[in-house]
Amino acid sequence: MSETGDFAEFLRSAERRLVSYLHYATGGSTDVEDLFQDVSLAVYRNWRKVRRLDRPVAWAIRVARNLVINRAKRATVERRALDRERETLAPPTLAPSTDETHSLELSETIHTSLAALPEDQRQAVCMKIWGGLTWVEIGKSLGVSDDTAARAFARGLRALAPALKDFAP
Amino acid sequence: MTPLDRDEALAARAGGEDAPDATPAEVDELLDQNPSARNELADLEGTVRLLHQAALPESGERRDRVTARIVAGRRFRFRITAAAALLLVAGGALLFVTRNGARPASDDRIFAEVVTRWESTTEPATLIDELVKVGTTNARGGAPGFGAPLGGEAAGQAADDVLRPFVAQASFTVLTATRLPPGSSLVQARFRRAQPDVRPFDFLWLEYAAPGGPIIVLQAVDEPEVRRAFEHLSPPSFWQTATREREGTRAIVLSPILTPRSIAEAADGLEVHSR
Repeated sequence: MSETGDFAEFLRSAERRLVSYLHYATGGSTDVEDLFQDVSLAVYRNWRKVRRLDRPVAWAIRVARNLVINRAKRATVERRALDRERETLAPPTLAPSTDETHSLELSETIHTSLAALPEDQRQAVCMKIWGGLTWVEIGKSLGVSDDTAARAFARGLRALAPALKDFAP
Repeated sequence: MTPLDRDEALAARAGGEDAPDATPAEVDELLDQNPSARNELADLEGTVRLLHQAALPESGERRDRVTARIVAGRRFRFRITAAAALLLVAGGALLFVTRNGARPASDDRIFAEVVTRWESTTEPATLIDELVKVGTTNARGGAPGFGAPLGGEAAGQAADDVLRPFVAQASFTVLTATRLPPGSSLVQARFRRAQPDVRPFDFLWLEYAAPGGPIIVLQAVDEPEVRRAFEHLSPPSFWQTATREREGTRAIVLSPILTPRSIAEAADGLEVHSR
């Protein structure tokens, strides 16, 4: 398969992970697609190197995390203003269905609960659940050992569980 | 089970990956020994399911958008790169043509090359020898010609305002160039004006070692003769020329009216050799 074909296949397989990770790691930012594009571009530019890695998606998630961190450092004030602006946007003209309401509420609850977690636990949960990274990869990204990463994940889950219990079927 | 072991075991089960420091059997054993951990694991597994459920859906449209932007960006970057490369090539070509084609080599550049060559030579040679080599194509009277170097082509832009009046009116031919031992700063050369009705003049070449490089002063020995021959051509003020030499610029000054002493006075601090 050509390099471009390989890349397209990678993007297809990694899109959901990357977008979900970015969505929850940024607290539901509206510019997730921009970040996704930036990550994709970084992967594309380094594709010759990345494609030879055992797990290119782990590399992409690490890039995504760096972008999230940079974004947070760069535009904290601006982001708050934009978030406030987003909150004041006109509500959808059509009322969401019951399923959509459930999903929205679940999503909002996850955002709220994640925001209350310490950074290492939030990142461990996001990277494991939506990024699909291994303990080693999470540990490498966080600068800790793999068992520390696993414990941070367990503690994060434990903190999230009570808030999400009501959503269980 | 210690709290740390418990967390690791729970993470392994809820996260769907083996514990970093324990086998699956060991995790099972640990959980079996602790019923509350089993119960908590059920909660955590439910939490994980909800989190997975909250993952954003795939979007071919979004993927296509991003891919299209990347491809477009790649094309844009390619165009920018190509344009930059084209500009570089064009600039280089223009520079080449300007320096080597459209504009003739400047006198001062030729002179600088001559001086550099002269300075680096290990043989007993003088600057005049090097200038003669450059100017041999213009030899007159069977001797190495000095006309071309003095003709403004190689004499040096810095001295052009001094030399040009002479060259415009007369050409010189080197008859002899007395070679002195290496290290000597004085070279005496004999010149003869090419015109048959003018007898040869003797000139002294006084070499000065200055911070900016060698300064060569051509000083006429037979001042009355030279003055008579060139007085209508002489620049108005050789003192100014001598003063300018002190600033360290490389220059040749043809001075038919100044004596070595007066030059020494003008070039205060420079060592003047004469004989």
